Amino acid sequence: MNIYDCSILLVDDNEELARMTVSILKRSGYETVEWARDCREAMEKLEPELPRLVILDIMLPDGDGFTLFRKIRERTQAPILFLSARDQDNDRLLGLGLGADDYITKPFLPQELALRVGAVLKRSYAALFMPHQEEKVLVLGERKVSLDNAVVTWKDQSAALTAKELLLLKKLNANRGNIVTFDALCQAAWNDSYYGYENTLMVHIRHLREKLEEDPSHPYWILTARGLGYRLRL
Amino acid sequence: MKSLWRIGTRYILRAVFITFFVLCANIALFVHIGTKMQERENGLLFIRQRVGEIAEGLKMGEQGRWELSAEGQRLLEEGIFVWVMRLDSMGRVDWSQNLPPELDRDYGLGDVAVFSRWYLEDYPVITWRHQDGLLVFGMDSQDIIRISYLIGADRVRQLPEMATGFLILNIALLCMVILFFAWRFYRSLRPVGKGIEALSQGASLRLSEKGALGELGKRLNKASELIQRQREKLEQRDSARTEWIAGVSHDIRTPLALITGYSDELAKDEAWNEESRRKAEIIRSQSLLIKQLISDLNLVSRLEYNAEPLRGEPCIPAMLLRECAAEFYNRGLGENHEIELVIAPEAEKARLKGDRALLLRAFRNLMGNSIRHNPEGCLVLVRLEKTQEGVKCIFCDTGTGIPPQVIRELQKKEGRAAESGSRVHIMGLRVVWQITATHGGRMSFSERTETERGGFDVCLYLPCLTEEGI
Repeated sequence: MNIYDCSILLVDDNEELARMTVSILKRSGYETVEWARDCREAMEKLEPELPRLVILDIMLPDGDGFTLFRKIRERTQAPILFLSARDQDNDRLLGLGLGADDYITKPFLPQELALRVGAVLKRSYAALFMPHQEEKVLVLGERKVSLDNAVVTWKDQSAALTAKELLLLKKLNANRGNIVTFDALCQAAWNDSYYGYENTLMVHIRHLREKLEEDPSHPYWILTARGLGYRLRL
Repeated sequence: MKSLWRIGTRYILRAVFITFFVLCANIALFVHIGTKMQERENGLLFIRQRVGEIAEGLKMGEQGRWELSAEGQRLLEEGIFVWVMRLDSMGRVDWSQNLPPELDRDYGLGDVAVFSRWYLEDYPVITWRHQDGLLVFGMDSQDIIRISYLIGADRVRQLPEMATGFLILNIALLCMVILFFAWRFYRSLRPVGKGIEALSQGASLRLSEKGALGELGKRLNKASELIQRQREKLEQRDSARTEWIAGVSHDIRTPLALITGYSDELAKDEAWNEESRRKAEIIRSQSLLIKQLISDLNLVSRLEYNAEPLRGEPCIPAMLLRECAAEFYNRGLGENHEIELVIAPEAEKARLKGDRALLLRAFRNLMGNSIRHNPEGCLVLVRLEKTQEGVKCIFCDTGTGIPPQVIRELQKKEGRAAESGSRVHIMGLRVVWQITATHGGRMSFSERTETERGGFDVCLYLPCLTEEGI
C-alpha cells in the first residue's frame, strides 16, 4: 500500500473550486477523492468507509469547519487539513490548536496542495507504508549512520556518535537539503537559544564532520550556510 | 498634574509679589505722609517764629499803652490767629485784639497752666513770653488740633524692634494665608486637572457638577461625552472599514484560487502551444502577486486600526533574521541571489517583546523586495547592530535599492495610504512600517551615495528588553 491508495474527503461549498481541487489530487495520483458540499453531506460520506484524510473548508453553508472538525474527530483519527480563504493568524491558530495536521490558505498552488497532502499522509501513516524498516540508516556516500545506534560505519571502520552529535545529525537529516539555522540546531541539541553556544555548536559540527566526511576540512555532506546555519546535502 | 503645580506655584509667587508691592506702597505712602506732616510741622514752627516777630513788634507806647508796629500788625493779620491778648504779671489782660468778650478777664496760674497745654475755651492757643507778661494767641479749633501726651522713654527706645517684629509677624501671617488659599485652590482644581489629563489620554470623564467649579465640571463632562461619541463613531467606522477589507480579501481568495489553480494547470498543459502556456504562467504569477497584495492590505488595515491582536512574546531578532534568510534559501533562491547576515556579537543576545509572526513578515518583505526588484541577481546584505535603546537592522542590497518616489510616497503620509491614483506600489513597505510602529520602533531610509545607481536602504530601529528583562 502507498499514500496514493488513501481515500480523501474534500468538504467545500464552492463547486468549481471543489472540482478543481479534486482534479489536482487525482492528477497527483490519489485515486479516491470524495467531495461533500456541506457538513451534513460530509458526515454522510464518512459511511460506509472512513476516509484516510479529510480536507475541510471553514465557512460552510450549514455550519463552520471547526465544529465539523470536532464531529469528524469523534469518529476517526484520520489526519485533517483546513483549506480556507481565512488567513488570519487567529483562524490558523484555532485550526492547528484543535489538532489539525495542516492549514492551507486560498489561493494555493496545485503542487503545494499535493505536496502538503502527501507529507501529511506520509507522516500519519508512516508505520503503514514502511512496516518492514527495522533500522533507520542514513547513507552518506560510503558511510552509513545508524540513527538508532548512533554509530557510523565505513569500510572496516566504525565511530560512535555522542548524544549531542546524534541530535544535531537527526535535526539536519529531518530537514535534509534545507538550511537548518544555528538557532534550530541549538534548540534541538541543548533546548536553548544560539547565544552562548556559538563555539560549542561549531566544535560539535567539526566532530560530526570528522566522523562523516572523507575530508573534514573540505566537507561534502555537512555544508555551512555562512551566518545562517548548516545543511545536509541531499 | 504638573500643570496644576505650575499654576499653584505661579499663584503663590504672584500673591507674594502683590504682598510686597502693597507693603512697599504702604511704606512709600507712610514716608510721603510723614514728609508732608513734617512740612506741616515746619509750618507750625514757622507760626511760632511769626509769633516771636509779632511779639517783637509789640512795644510800650509813649502814653503808657502797648502798641503793635505796622509790621507786627501785618504779620498778625496774615497769620492764622483768631485773636491775641497780653497778660501782665498779675494775669490781667493789658492788651488784646479781637478778643472774644468772655475771654476778657483775669487769669490765675492754674488757668495759664491749663491753656498753655490744652485749650482755652475751645481755642487752641500758643503762648509767648513777652517781657514780664505773656502773649496768648488764639487759633480756630477747625484749623489746629492740640494733642498733649507723655510717652515712656523705654517704649520709644523699643520702637524699632517692635516695628520689625510687627513687620515679620505680618509677613508670616500673609504667607500662611497665601499658602492656605493656594492649597485650597489646588485642591479645588485637582479633580478638573485629573479630568483634563484623563481626557487627553482618551478616557471618559465624570466630574462633580457642584461647588465653585461646578460649571467648569459640567462643561468638561459635556466635552468628554462629545469626544466619547466621536471616538465611538470613528471606531465603528474603522472597524467597518477593517471588516470590509477583511471581507473583500476573504471573498476574493476563492476566485483567485481558481485562477491560480487553472492557470497553473494550463501553464503545464502540453496540449497548448508555448505562447499560450507563457500567458497562463503570467496569469498564475500575477494571481500570486494579487494574493500577496490582498494579504498585505488586510494586515495593514488590521494593524492601522488595532484590529490585529499583538502577541507579546520574547523574540530574538538575530534568530528571526536567520530563520527568514534560511527560508528564502530553502524555498529556492536564484543562483544570482545571495543573502548575507552580519550580526554584531552584542546584538546576538538582544531580545525584544513582540509578535514573532509579524516580525518575520516584516523581514521577509524587506528581503523579498530586494530579490523581487533585482531579477538579474544581487547580494542582500542585512546587518544587525545593538543600539542604546534596542537594535538597528539595516537592509541593503547591491541592486537598485528603493526608488526615491517610493520613499516620498511613504513619508508623505507617514506610512498611511498612498494618494489614490498613485502608481507607486508601497503596500509591502507599508506593512513593514506598520509592524515596526506596532512594536514601538521606527523605520528610516538612507540614500546610497557610494553607488551610481542611487536608491535607498532601509533601517529598522526596534526597542529591546533590558538586560534584566531578558
